[in-house]
Amino acid sequence: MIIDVNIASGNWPFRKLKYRNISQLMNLMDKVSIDKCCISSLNNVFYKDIQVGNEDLYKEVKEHSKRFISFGVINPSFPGWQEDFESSYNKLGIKGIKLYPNYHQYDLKYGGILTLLKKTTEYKLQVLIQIRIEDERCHHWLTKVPPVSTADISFVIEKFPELKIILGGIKLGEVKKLRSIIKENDFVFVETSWIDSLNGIDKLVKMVGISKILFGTNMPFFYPQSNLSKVQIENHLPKEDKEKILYKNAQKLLSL
Amino acid sequence: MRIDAHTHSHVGSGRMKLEDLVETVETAKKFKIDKLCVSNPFIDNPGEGFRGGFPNPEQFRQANENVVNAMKKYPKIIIGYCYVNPCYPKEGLDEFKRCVQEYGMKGLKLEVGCRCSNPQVYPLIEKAIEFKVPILQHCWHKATGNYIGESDPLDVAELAKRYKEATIQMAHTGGDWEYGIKAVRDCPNVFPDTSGGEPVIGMVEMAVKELGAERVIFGSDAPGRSFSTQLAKVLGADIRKEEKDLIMGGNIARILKLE
Repeated sequence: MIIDVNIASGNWPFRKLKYRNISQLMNLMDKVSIDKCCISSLNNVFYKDIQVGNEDLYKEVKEHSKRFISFGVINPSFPGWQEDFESSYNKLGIKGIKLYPNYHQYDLKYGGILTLLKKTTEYKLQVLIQIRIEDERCHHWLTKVPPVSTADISFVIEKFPELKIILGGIKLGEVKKLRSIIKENDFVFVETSWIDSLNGIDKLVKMVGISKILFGTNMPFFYPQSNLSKVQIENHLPKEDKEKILYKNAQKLLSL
Repeated sequence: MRIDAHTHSHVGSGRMKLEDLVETVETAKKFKIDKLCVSNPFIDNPGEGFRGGFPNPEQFRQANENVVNAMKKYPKIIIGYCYVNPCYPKEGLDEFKRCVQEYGMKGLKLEVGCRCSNPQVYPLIEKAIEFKVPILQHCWHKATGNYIGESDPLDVAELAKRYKEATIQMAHTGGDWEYGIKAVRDCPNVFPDTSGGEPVIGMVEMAVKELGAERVIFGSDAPGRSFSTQLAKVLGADIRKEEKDLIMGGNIARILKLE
């Protein structure tokens, strides 16, 4: 069993993606034996009306509910986000929300985000905060988007101690800065897709502990083989710990 | 034979620790990588690293000593590349000669320090042509802005057109690989390596389509990067097995004239 907690489906304005819809993503998942994925709309990084993207994704995945766990993208800086959130929860059956704070250009410390995270906690949903999508050095000239700051992440963790937070697209250096607060908080998790260093998973386990790590691939951007190999081969973990990263921690978090 | 054409004996500031190298070699073995091309463009400048300043001759000589030690420890695995700072033309040339003639290093590694289109680099390129060894040139086209003295793929293309007999291994496929591949497409003597950067789907496919598999070289940039991430770019690519074999070792073996 392998559960990937961070993939997205849709188009990217700056490159034709090879795997950009559910059918293509399922082919890739089958190729590398990934059973389930937490999925969100990639179109929603750029759509103003994100509910269109959330609903399109819902239509695509509803026939494949055994393979996909829907996360709704919510933009708390755009009017009407409250209705989008309620509708995603009540009608689309989302298990979590995904946030792109720096692409949607809002601060994690002020405004609607605080209300959204309070409600997310009340509804017992996960929140996946995407720190980055692409290497900042390779961004398109029209969209140079910095990563979400570790200070903002710290603020959210401290402000919402009961909120289940997945940190997506995070690098090892950023985990290092946050390691104390991640270890201290039972509901904060790190996803593996951007952890990249020789035997990097060993380093990650040392920093935050095995129970805090979730398997993620960042499909459709990254080859999933990269993260499979990091967890299955390039470390010194026993089989039980590899299983925790590959699916057991996610099963527990998502109550699967 | 699998060859990783771009690794380092140390990352960051400070001297190489032998256990770091042992970890790199042992991890490479897990992935059936037979040989590692190793350079050490990292100077003994605690707290600053090589980005903090341009290494002086004493510093780059020390960096190469570390590679010599690595070659001695793993003579069947490690292929040394000599690193110099072209801002010191005479000392750089002397060090390059020493590394090739005395220690049997097989390539020249150039990093940030002096853009490769700068005439200060030319004597080193001419010597590499004479020695018949490749030049591994660090290269990145950065949306965030390059360092002073950091080469862009267009610098590599300019150098390659000036010295058509030179064999240039363009590191990181230029970083922004779509830019890098197009920049050197009409330079048959430029061989982009896949090292560094993220395992983005489509990179190797585009390189093979635009340049041909015989011009693409596998490299990891380990230990700063994981073998898993870097191998996935080639092993996960939707290309033929013969093409993967060329990228994973055939091409660099041909360039280095390995048996």
